[in-house]
Amino acid sequence: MSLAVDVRATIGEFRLDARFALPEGLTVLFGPSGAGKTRLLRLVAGLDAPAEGRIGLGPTVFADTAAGTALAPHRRRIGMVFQEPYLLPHRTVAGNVALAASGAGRAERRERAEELLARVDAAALAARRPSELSGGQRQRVALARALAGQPRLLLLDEPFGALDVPVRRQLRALVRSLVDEAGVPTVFVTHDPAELAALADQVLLAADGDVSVVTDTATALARLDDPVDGAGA
Amino acid sequence: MSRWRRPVRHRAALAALALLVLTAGACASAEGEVTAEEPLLVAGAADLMPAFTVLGEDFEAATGEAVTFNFGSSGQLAQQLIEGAPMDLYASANVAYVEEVLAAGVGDPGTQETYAYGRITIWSPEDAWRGWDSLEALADDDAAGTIAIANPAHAPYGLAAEQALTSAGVWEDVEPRLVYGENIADTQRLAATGNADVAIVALSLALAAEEDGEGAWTLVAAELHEPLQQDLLVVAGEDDRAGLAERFIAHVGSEEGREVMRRYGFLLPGEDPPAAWED
Amino acid sequence: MDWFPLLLSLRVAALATLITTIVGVAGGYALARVRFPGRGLVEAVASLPIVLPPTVLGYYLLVAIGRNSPIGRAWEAVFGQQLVFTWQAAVVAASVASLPYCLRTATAAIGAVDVGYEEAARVAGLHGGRLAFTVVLPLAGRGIVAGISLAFARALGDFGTTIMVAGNIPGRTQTMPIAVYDRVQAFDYATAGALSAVLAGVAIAVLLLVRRLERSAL
Repeated sequence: MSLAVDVRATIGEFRLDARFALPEGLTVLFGPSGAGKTRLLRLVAGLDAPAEGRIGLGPTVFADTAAGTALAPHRRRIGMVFQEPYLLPHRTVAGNVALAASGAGRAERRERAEELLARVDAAALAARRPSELSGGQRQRVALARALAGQPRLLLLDEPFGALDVPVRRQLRALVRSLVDEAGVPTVFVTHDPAELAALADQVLLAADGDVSVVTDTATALARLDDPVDGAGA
Repeated sequence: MSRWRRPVRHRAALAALALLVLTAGACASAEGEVTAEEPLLVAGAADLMPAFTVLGEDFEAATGEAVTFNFGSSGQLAQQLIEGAPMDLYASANVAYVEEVLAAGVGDPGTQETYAYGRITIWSPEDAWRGWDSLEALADDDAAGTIAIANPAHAPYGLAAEQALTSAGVWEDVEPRLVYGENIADTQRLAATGNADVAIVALSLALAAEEDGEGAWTLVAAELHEPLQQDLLVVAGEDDRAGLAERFIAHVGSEEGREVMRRYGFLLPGEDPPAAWED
Repeated sequence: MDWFPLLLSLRVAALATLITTIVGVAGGYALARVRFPGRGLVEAVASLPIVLPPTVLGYYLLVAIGRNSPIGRAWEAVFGQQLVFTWQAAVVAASVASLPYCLRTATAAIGAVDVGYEEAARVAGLHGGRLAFTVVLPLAGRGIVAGISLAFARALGDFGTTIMVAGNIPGRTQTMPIAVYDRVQAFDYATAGALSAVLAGVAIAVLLLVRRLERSAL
């Protein structure tokens, strides 16, 4: 399934203009700070509304201003990981993942949560509280939560930005294997070239509110060294 | 702390709280309903507290029927009666409030009667007394810096005080020094606690304080204010409650009852004030 | 000592706090999270019970639920006796008087919850009641409990409004604060002092118990 976006949005003083259709696989959304990457992800997730345009995933329409429709975030079946995972402090790790899990009853959701925690190598953390975890551990849990609802699209917004380099490498590998296994289209936001090189099947470039160029890893990396195009750091 | 112990302790505390509240409720509800054996409920003006408390005790001793009182400012009691307060008898400090209650369709007009006339006095605790023998003397005395009267807006004794001060020609001098009590008992309390230097209070309260060995007072001339005609009214709807109210009224009007009223500084209809008051 | 006023006060305050909690938390949620026209006005009006003198509030309540009012008449039709001057009217008075304390505190506490939690939860599939009860309210928990405690204390101590709407009827509607006032009016300061001490002691005990609950649960 392909994520197809054609929207214009104004958030405060910022004008976003995004036009693209992504192929399957893991797309790295790449660009400097302030380029509009997070804002775009929020539009796709339904946390903000476009002024004009259409967002769709395969046959499903997330938002269409011409038709006046917009699917609420909880209906979009999207798994999302933010830089700050916002795990609920009053619930255990397993409880947090279970909340997002699909499943007919509490027991089923609990089971699914435990499976996913095992999958992200965090099974030992199940009974702990989020406040007791390290940054890397929290993001593992956030990944498990993102997958819990059997999402059809994964959005990751600089999830490892605040973590140490070795931890980032481990988690990067985990993301790659999860995405391959789940076979779900994924958008991974970063401004770290190493992450881009390691993860991207294709690259979506963001610059000054314009998000429209889809290219390959080599081209994106080459652009980095060429400031004329305006897509570099 | 294990995941399980926390919810269990939390539930135990919640259960304890709920139990406390429910038992409180159960005990309180035992006395909820109105029965014929309920004591007579009398809404009485604040100035009646000393006299009527004694009358209530005498009535119960003589007949075995209990009386409970709700003393307050006549105006507020009238408001409540108009809105349906379940009192059986209304003893006001002012005939005007009784008329208001009747005008609102509450009470039995046939039972309205004047049971006493009130008088006002200048009063202060013993150690604050400066021998004022008239309202003019009070107004002239700078040491009487704060003067308490009941709120003329809804307390009849306050209205009488205002009228008397006006007739004596000292209202302008005195008005900036006035503080208002919510009802006549509050007014006396203002002076008793030293928050006011002196108060204009009901004679009944001055005499009651004197009985406890407290305070000094001077009677204010009756011509200075409109008569404090105190009327009562039977408000109870049901016959047996109304009958009980009538029996209490009869006691108040009996010779023993009149003696108590006289003792507490009320002028009875058709009588002259005793010389002892005019000292 | 006559225990009736204390037991009545506990019962009235408990029920009033329950009512206030439901209305206050639900109202706080709406005011903090839902944009609707006239939001500011609703907040201001809901604060009126704090601004108005208790007897004035009591008088307006008296007219609003009295014998001659639509509410009073409906109550009488259903229950066979009037609402005013019963202990149920005391519950109404205490609820109205304590509502602003719970409402404002809940509004502030819910408003202070980082919207990131809500957004993450929505994307994760939560919405409506489930979102409120599993995410927002627990996060606002401390503040809400503080508001409820405040409301309970206010309900327990209500006097002016209660006496106007329920009257001072010993053995029926004479709550603890009214009993204290009654003894003061009778110049019986000794009993008034004793009753006040008991009232204060009970209030402190309940509030301490609530704090222990709060610590173990949150």
